[in-house]
Amino acid sequence: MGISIAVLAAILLFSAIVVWVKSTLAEQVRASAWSESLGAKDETAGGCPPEFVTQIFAKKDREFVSALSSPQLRKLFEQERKSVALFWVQQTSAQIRVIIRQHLQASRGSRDLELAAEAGILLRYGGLQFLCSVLFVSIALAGPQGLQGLAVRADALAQRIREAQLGFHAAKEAGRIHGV
Amino acid sequence: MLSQIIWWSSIALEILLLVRAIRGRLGAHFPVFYGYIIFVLSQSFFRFYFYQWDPHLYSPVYWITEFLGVVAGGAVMFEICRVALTPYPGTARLARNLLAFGFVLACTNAAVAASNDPHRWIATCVNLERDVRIVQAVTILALVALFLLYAIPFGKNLRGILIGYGLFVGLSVIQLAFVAVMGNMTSKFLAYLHPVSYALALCVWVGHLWAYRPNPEPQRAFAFEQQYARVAAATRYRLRAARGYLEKAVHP
Repeated sequence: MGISIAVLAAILLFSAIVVWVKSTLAEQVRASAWSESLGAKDETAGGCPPEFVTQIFAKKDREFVSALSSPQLRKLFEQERKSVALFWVQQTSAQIRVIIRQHLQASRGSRDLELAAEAGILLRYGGLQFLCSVLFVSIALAGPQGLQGLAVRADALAQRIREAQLGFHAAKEAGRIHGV
Repeated sequence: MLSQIIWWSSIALEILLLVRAIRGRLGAHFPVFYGYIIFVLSQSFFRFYFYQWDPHLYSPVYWITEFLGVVAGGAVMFEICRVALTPYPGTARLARNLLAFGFVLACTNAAVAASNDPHRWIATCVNLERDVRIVQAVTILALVALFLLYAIPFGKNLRGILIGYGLFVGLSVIQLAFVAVMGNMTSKFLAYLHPVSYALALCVWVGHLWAYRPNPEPQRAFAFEQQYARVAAATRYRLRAARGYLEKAVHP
């Protein structure tokens, strides 16, 4: 019992140190890329345009292709739609990652950092990433057609996140201009 | 013979580390760490004196200095947090609380173990040190996770101190766990593991602390970012919005 706990603690410690060292060594590259991404457009903003996303999950396209009675064409269509839908989920997951990264960057300098609030936010982030994984698997297994209404919501989600990020950048810029 | 080589090479590395600290004026930046190295160096000679001239006192002297070393190691961890997290007061407070909790836990654990059988205190020292080192390892693990999460920038010097000490504590935990069960004399490998782990840590320290490398300057914090309640509320809002749409996507 004692040995297993000790070995587990040591292995976890060594693994954490290896991950941390890799991360700190990559920090310089990431820091410059990060400041560029903050100053310019969001790194995930250039994904699917809204009207394109609306079409990904639309039933009528599939119905139209099915009506053509070409199994090959239908297979190709489904493959394409699935990969675009999966890309959308990945993009959403990346946007959530950007939100949390921005939060950690902003909050680490705060004087009044609250442990409970931080834990809550990180739990919420974990939950969202889990949800993205579930969605990814669902689309990969069943295809995007079963997820009606997704396109409109996806568009709104992307729009909201983009707006929130613009607000974040605006506040940051305002702080920079006023020299605070 | 091998133990002599390890012992003398450790002393040589400690002296080299101190010489480099004097030449590079590193001592002013990491006073606690170099205090720890001076303590370990003097401890080696102190133990050697008792081993040669007063062997019946060697065991209590060994364990007392060993535990003083554990406490000094804890102080090194506090110094790492102090230097790395000075520009991040909120994160520094979290780390200090974490360290204080680990320190209190280790001390309580030691006090309880010692009071259970005060007459066999020396005999239970291996178990005691193993438990204290496990608490220390878990505390370092939590700190590393904190540094990783908040992407705290580390300079080469400070990174080296943490890697070396983490390596030493991790290997000590493994060695003490096996010694507590099998005994020190059953395996030469186990007997050598503790001094070898310290020599490895010294090699890491010499490599990383050859010259002074300042910690990277953090990007200037803005007043907007320093208001945590605002930052947290904005993040919560954005995550809630993301979750709402994702949930609807799963259950349309």
